[in-house]
Amino acid sequence: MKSRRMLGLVLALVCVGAGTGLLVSRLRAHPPPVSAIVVSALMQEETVPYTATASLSMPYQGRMVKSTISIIHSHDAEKISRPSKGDGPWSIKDARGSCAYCPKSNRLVVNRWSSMLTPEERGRLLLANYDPRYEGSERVAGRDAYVIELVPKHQGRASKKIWVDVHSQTVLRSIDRSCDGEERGMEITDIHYTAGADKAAFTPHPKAGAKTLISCKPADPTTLDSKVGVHVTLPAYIPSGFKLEGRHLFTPPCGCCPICGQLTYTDGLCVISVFQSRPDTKCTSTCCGPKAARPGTYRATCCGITGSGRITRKDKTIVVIADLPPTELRKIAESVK
Amino acid sequence: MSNCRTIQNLLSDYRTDLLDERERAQIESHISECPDCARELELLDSVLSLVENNTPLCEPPAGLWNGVYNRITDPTPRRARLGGWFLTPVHAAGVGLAALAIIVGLYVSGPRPQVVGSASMAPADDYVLAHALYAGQASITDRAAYLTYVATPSDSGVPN
Repeated sequence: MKSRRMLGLVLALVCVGAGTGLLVSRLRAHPPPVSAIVVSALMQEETVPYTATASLSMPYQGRMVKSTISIIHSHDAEKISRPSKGDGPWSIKDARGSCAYCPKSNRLVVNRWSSMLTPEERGRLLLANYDPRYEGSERVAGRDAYVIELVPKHQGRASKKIWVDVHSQTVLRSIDRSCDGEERGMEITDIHYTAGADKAAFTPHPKAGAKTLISCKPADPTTLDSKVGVHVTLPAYIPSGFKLEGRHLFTPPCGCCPICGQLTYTDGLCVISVFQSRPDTKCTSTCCGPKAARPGTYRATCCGITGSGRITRKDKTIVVIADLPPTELRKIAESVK
Repeated sequence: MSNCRTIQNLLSDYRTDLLDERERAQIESHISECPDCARELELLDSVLSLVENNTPLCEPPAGLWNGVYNRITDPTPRRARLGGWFLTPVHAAGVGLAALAIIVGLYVSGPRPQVVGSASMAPADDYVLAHALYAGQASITDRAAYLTYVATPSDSGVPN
């Protein structure tokens, strides 16, 4: 009788163990809907308000630069500032653009942009060009997060790994790998979800006497040429998967460079900017980037954020900026007629 | 539109939804009574299905549209073609030789685009910052680049 009971108990334990194992394996076999999470994370800017502290790391001139920033995020607006002994620099952005303030130069640079793609279209483009792979879950800043790797479908493209808050779809951590394999990262170390921030938090308050410069604004294709002074043409070559997203008029803050037409392309994750202007033979400022040695030459540079290529021709200057291999940047620049 | 030849000429348009309601109704009424035309439609259907199921959807290269766009929006009028004059063999040969001489001349002595320094490190310039600010407008999209604009210490060389 006793042995029968023991046998029954053992059988029951085996059944419970098998059931638990099956349940766990089924849960593991059914990861969350990764594509939906990625798209939701892409659009979360408009939904979940929070305040956070984040640390950034990026390679710059052969060393790793680290920084701490604070973020106030409310619906479609975001303020990012760098804590400093005095007033640190800050930037405020919303769906229409951004303004960035530098206390050192007391300069407020305003950018307004128009996107030809809706967030949904951006999401679709992202999924068409990147394969989101679920890699499990981890805890970041005390929150449960899905770990998702965005693997590019095209060779030689940048990739990204994101840690997305399970409950709010906020991107808590990200590692960006450039096309040449260099990594830069952002990690939220402390986050508090809120009901929303006061509008005053997103009102720019530069110091008295600040110089305001409207650097970038949406451009009408019919008047862009006359404002820039050259025919702003679409490059004949753009890497596959990228779509034209915007046309802008860019005024370089140096004040001596000619006004540019800025065309922007995106593959859902990365952006290519193609600037075109009259030949900038007079500008001597280094803030506009290193100049080509003489007309007809191509110059490639890399600043740690992204790569850029510049052609100075007799009729126009072309600057291409993107996180793409130098050969691709050159091909794009040279395909501009 | 009752004879079979007319109907069969319209079958491919019918199959690809290019006809208006009235024409569609006429074709459907004819096919219900004419086994020959019904068979013709069936055959067309099977051929088109085979093509649709086995041909991958291809997008034209971005360059194709860009080239067309640039030509449409180019403000400078294109030159008239040299039609009749160019057809004369002597002239054509002369133009060909002249073009060859120009190409050789340009190749031997003319300035050619060249790379000045390969991917040298340089401070972030205004173009890069404008690009970074634009690229960082979405939460996932290149946000680190956007954050860097505000967050990088000034002693690193990035102006802020």
